[in-house]
Formats: sequence, C-alpha cells, structure tokens
Amino acid sequence: MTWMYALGSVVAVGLLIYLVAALLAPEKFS
Amino acid sequence: MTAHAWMLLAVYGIVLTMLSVPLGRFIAGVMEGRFGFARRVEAPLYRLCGVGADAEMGWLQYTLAIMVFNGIGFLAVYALQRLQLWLPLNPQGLANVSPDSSLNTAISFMTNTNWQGYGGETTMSYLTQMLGLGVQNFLSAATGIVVVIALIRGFARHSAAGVGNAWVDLTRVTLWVLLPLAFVVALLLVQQGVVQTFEPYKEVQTLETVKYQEPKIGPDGQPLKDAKGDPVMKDTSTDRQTLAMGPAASQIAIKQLGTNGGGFFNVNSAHPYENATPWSNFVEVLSIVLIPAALCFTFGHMVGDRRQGWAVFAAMGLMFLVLTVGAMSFEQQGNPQLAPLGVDQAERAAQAGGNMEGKEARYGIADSALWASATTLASNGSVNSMHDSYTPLGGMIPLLSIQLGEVIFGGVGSGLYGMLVFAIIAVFIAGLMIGRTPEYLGKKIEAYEMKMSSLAILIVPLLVLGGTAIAVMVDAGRATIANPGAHGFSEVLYAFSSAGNNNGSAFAGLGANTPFYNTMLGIAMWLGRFAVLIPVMAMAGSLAAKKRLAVTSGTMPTHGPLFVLLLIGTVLLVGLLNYVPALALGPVVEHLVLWK
Repeated sequence: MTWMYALGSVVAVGLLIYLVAALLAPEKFS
Repeated sequence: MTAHAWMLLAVYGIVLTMLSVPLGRFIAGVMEGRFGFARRVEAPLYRLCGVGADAEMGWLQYTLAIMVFNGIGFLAVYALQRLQLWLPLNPQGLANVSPDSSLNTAISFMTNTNWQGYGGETTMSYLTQMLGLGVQNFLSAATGIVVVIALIRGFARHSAAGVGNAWVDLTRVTLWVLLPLAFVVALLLVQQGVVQTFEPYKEVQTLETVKYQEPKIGPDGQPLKDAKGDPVMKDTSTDRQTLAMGPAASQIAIKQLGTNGGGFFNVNSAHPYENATPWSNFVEVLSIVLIPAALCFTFGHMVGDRRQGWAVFAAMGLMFLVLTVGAMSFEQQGNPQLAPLGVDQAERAAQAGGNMEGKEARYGIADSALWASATTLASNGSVNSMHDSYTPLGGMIPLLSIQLGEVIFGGVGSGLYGMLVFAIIAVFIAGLMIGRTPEYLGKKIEAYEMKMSSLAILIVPLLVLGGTAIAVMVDAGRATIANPGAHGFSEVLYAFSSAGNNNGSAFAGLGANTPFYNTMLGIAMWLGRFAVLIPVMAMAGSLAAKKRLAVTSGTMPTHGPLFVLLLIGTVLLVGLLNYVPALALGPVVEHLVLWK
C-alpha cells in the first residue's frame, strides 16, 4: 500500500459521500 | 451455432413460456389468498404462531420482519456448521467448519447467493446440507418472492398504508409454490439417476490403476517443502475411489427452482450424481428460469393488466436470447491456439466441436452454454461446465450477464424487482425526453422513487468495482490468484460480480476460501442483498400510498414494443457502462492476446 493508494482511496470515499449526499438532498446543493 | 443449438433454444423457449404462464397465474392466486383450501390449511399455522392473517404491515415493518427472519436463518446456518461434528447425520465424521468459512456460507445461503468457498462433499455433513443449506434454499427464495409481491402491491394498490403481511406471504409462497414444485422436480431427478440417500460414501475399485503425484507429509502433518518453498512430491498409485453420496436430489430441485445454485457436490451440476443425463440437465436448466419467468405473469395479473407482464417478459426474453446465442457462438468457434496443434474442433456426428475444455462430453457446447447463460442471467450460480475454461468472450457473457444486475429473469423475486426498478428509470428518462411527469402503471414517479431507484442501482457496482479494486491492490487478494495477468483479473472481477449481485457462480481459478475473500465476499453478498432490498421496499410503501392516475392520451403506454425497447436500452446502458473499463482490462485484453 503506497501513499498514492491511500490518497486515491481518500479522494474516492470523499467523492462517494458527496455524491450520495447530493442524491438524497439535492436542494442543499442548489 | 449448430442446428442442435438452435433446436435446443427453440424447445427451451417454448417449454419455458408454456409452463411459466399458468404458473404465474397460480402464484398470483396464491399470494392474493384466492384458494379456500389453502386458507383453511394456513389458518391453524397462523393461530399457532400468533400471526394475524389480515393484519397489514407498512413497508418498514414488512422489511424489518424479513430482516429478522433472515437474521435467524443466518445464525442457524452458522451454528450448524460450527457444531456439525457433534451433531447427527455426519457419517463421514466431517470436522466443524472454520469461523470465516462458516460466516461466508451463512451469509451466502441467507442472501440467496449460494457462493461456495468450500467443497460440499468434503466439508458439510448431511445435517448441515439439509437443515442448514437446504432450508435456506427455500427461505431465501421465499424472501425474494415476497419482496417483489410487496412491490407489485405498491403498484396495484392506491392510497394504502400497507403492502401485505410478511409472515403470511412467506408461508404461502413456501407452502404452495416452492415445496410442491421442488417435490415434483426432485422426483424427476431421482428418476433420472440423481442420488437421494443417507448411506455413507462408497469405496469402489476402479477399472484401471491410476498413477499420480501427491505432496509428502512431514512428521508434523504438514506438506514438506524444498529449499525453494515448493512442495516435495512423491509418486503414488491407487485402484480405489471414494464415491460421495448423500440426499442430493431434494437439494438440487430447490437449488434450481429457488435460483440458489449451491451444489451438493463441489463441481455442482457437472457431477453425474447431481446431473445424471441430458434429460436431468434439461429439467434443471428449465427449473432455473421457471419461477423468475412466471413472476412476470404474476405481475401482470396482480396489477390487472396482463400486457404489462408480457412486456417485461419480452424484454427479459430478448436479452436472454441474444446473450445465449453469443455464448454458444463464441464457444463453438473453439480455441485458435489449438488449431495449429492439429486438434479437430469442428462439429461432427461424434463430437460437439468447439472449445470443449472444462465442459462435459455428455452435454457439449450448446447445453453447457445455455446453462452458463441461464445460471448467470437468472442469479442461480449452479454450473454444469467450468466458466473459467471458456474462451475470453464466451466467458465474458456469463460475467456480463451477472453485471447487468441480475434483472434478465434474475433471482426469484429479486430479478423482477430489479427489472421494475429499471422500468421506473426508463419511464423517468422517457418523461424527461417528452417533458411530462413520468408515471408507471398509474403511479406518478417522483423524486423519492428516483432516489430509491438510484440507490438500488448504484450500490451493486460500487460493491463489485470497489471490492475488485481492493482485492487486486492488497497482498491477501493477489496471493490466491491462480492465473496472473488479464485472466486473473477476470477471476477476481467475476468473484465480486457474483457476490455483489447474489449470483454465486465462480470463475474458479481463484482460491477464495481464505479469511480475506470469505470476509470481503461475505460483505459484498450481505450489502448486495439488503442494500438493494430496503430501497425497493421503501418504494413499495411510497407507491402504495399514492393515488392512481387515470390513463389519458398523454400517458406513455408501457405494454408495447416501444417500451420494451426503451427498457432494454436502459438495462444495457446503465448496466453495461458501469463495467466497460473493467471488462476491457479482463476478458477483452485476453481475447486480443488469444486471437493476435
């Protein structure tokens, strides 16, 4: 596991959380 | 494609349609409680269990009931495996199963996946097979069916608070649909030579003495290794063989009908005691798709418009046909690297031709490819040939069939509720195109339904692609890949696709009975089942509470060829695009290397 894997994982999980939140409550992002 | 393959497809399609139409009508009758005899038999059971047969449940209560029911099933299967050495019906004295394998298998059978990291005849006692795995084969199938029935009620009812009663639905579908069908199919299989016995395994003398190598065992009971770490082998020979026995036929009947797929024996339906003749093969492959196909017609009956059921059946049937023809064609082409060696791969009267590696000579290309297609499209997971040995594109068809979301017939119940989620997305897309509020079967499709549909559709690709990515990055995941390169990647991708979509078939070649894969795949199976089921149930509750809209000239018909095409397009686009990059790294690269 290199630091690039770790960084990639953090970015991917962050994006996932943002997209799920935007799906469930889009009005908060308008 | 050979003439035999076309004839097989035609007969299969005709018999399937002829059986599934009346069965679908029958299931609708059972679930609506229209049979007086059935109600009289059920009544004492409900009284005994304190269930109010007429008490309606809201979607949340219904879902919780199902999850508690499945949770108890999980604990029972786990406990049986961990304690089997001290329990009866274990004539071989098989040891207790390890904790991680027991966890994986308990989740696997509770979620209707039936992924098997173990070998049945060397791991599970007769009691574990019957009371644990066999019972879950019925109950997990019943769970899928009652969820889709609840969703159908969501469409059929209006301004209603409830979606049915989970206990009543589970009882009805088990008692009047699964048990009678499994009884009939089990008798047919026994008649064809599939074993059904409690006798211990048989020691027999073989016709020839077999010479082979086996690892030398040291004084500590472990295989000896040389300086390089390779096992030290010794020559040996034997003229004895142990024939595994057991109550197989009764398990196999429900394994196929319930789209479970977990084999009694390790090689599943490639074993002659599990699938004895071409007739038993036909009965089994028909049983795989029978209930999922019938549920399309149940849907039509319950929503009061049979054409809706036919439209869904047509969409599923067309995609099934195209993918099966693809699998048969790719396998019949054979392996180009064998041709220069003088291997005859042409079809002749005495041989099936094509790529016969990993296939039963009894069944040939057509029956193997039809099975591979049916078992992966219908979320079954049983096999009569080894998918790992298919040509790259031939093997991509089963992989793709799983990745399309198990909605082309799919698992019993889960296939249809998955397809109805796609139907909701299809009408939403159509609504966007023509600028009207989307509606399906008289129910307005609004933001809540779209959010739930999106969650149901997106969770599985996340599990599959995320799980595969982790497995190929960490040492524990790479350690048990038997084939390096593109094929090894396909094996890992297949394992996570199979687990996340609750299929259960394996590409093989991957050593999956390790703590890493048992845990990772267990998580994928659990979430692949319940993280989809919960949004579907939420949608059922929301739809049941809505008013029904009248059909107007502006209503898009959802029973015609246009909607069928739209539905197919949605399934292909949403299902396929998620996986194109991963498929390009696996089977597509392998195909280009093989045919260069």
